[in-house]
Amino acid sequence: MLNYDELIIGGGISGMAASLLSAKRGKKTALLEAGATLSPTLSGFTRAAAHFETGFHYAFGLGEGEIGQYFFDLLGLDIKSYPLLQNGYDEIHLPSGRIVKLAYPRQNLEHSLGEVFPEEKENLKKYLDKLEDCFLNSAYLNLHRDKTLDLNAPVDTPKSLQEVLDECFKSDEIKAVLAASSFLHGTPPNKISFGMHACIAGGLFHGAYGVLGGGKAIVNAFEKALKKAGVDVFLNTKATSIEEDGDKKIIRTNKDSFACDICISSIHPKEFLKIAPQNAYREGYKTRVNALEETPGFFTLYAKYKGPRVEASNIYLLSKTNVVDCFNTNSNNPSYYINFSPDKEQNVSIISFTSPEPAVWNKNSPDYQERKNNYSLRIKNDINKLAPDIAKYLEYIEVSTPATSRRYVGYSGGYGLMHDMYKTKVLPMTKIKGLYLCGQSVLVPGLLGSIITSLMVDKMAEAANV
Amino acid sequence: MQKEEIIKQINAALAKEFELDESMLTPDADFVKLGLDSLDAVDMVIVLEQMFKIDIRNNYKVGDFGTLGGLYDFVERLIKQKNA
Ligand SMILES: Cc1cc2nc3c(=O)[nH]c(=O)nc-3n(C[C@H](O)[C@H](O)[C@H](O)COP(=O)(O)OP(=O)(O)OC[C@H]3O[C@@H](n4cnc5c(N)ncnc54)[C@H](O)[C@@H]3O)c2cc1C
Repeated sequence: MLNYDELIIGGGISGMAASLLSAKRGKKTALLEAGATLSPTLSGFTRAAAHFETGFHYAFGLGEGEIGQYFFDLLGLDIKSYPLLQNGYDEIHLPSGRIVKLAYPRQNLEHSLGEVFPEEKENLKKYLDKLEDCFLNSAYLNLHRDKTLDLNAPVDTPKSLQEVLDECFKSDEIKAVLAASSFLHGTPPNKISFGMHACIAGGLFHGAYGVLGGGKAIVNAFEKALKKAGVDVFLNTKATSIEEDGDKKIIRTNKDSFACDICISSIHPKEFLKIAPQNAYREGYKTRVNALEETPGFFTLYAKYKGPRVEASNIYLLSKTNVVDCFNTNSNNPSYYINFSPDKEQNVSIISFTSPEPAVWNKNSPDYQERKNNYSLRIKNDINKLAPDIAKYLEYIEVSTPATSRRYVGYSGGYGLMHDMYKTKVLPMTKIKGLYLCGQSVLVPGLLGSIITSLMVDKMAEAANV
Repeated sequence: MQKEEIIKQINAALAKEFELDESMLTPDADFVKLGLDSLDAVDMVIVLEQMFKIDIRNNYKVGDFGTLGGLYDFVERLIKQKNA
């Protein structure tokens, strides 16, 4: 049995952040990661001499004095960001054949969209004011409001994104253009609160940032900081049960067993429920969490791009004008999100939503390979038809399915659980003193969201004083 | 919806979802004494929001309800507001 003050299960960004915060409080801290490396989500991979991102394209709030940069400084991370999309744009291809450029930052957006939808100019201004207001006043993102870590903070609007769009606009096409960014958090417009959506979309319109060296550089910065802080990292170590022994928590794994006072889980909440002590929650709450919907699974093609430089950063090929319908993971007519890496090579990921059900994409089923090949082929055909100018310069390198994601991180919904405003929230506390949860499925999504949940949990751990 | 019906539904939900004994669910019962903690409080808000299709989170101010009786009144007020 190995003894620690505090132990963190799961070495993604939230678990790494929680470990650093724990060590900062002077604790003897261990971090367990089931995979062979830290944060497989963010590390990306290299094939045929090309590097592909798997969990990070860009984020907001990384500018000087902004919230993300504040977190990085607090955690002692050496991460260099740079402004992205400054005068750039995303391209939304609508089912009608119309192509709309979504320019950044806000003043460019207002101008360019206003030209495409002149009759919606006034409405657009109102909508963007609302979005910006929500973003700037978000309880989660505003350091000055001192509410960043307040669990009961209101979501700033009781309405869903879809409701607000319906109130603001007449044209279904402008609604589609503005709702497309729901692909970035994985909860459809009729289920995400406008306030939560504003945290992401509003953030991007405010200023999007890339990181020098991409996801891999973020992981490297964490590795360095963890080493410096004296956190013991155990790779290839999968937690299989958590038991209580008086005030201590005993963590069993495929290797050693660990005893600690405080245990923080950053793994998928449904996986946590499987290994948590019975009395960690009331039965009703467990049932509600287990009933939460997974974000869509990602079927991704990775390709080298050999053509003239594409100015758009991301291209959304929407198969339905109603973006809610683009979230149908059983559709025979999927939508696509094409991301171009910001570097010289412009490597490409083409993501489409598919079922996150483990049975649907299962590496052990005999027809897995064949279905994967057929599905890839069909995507290639779609891209040839829908974006021929790009398709002709693509050299396809690799394919991943929700089963790939499950193998690397233990779940197959692309971004973990949906943040459905009408359903139970996954909260950072449990019924057991000293047992907590953080990560993208808890309260707030994304890279920054994950870090925010680590900060919340850190406050709780500090207050628990076990 | 009549107040009595609201009370009945709230009590039934609390009994089922939070494993409370219905006989303890009286208007003067306070949440801490019922054994509900902060996790239950946030969870309960969402259960009630879904049940009555009301928005508690954005209308709640600290001190709005400390007892069950306060909660009954609060939910009744929101339902009335919604239907107004
Ligand atoms: C394709 C893609 C693109 C994205 N792009 C962006 C973006 O541009 N900007 C942005 O902000 N966000 C983006 N995200 C989201 C962001 O990457 C995630 O929200 C974030 O990395 C999640 O971190 P986490 O720590 O919550 O979870 P995870 O990274 O899933 O970490 C959990 C870890 O726990 C480990 N684990 C699981 N079970 C066990 C166990 N029993 N014992 C021990 N370890 C275990 C897993 O191996 C995993 O490493 C993207 C995500 C994807 C998939």
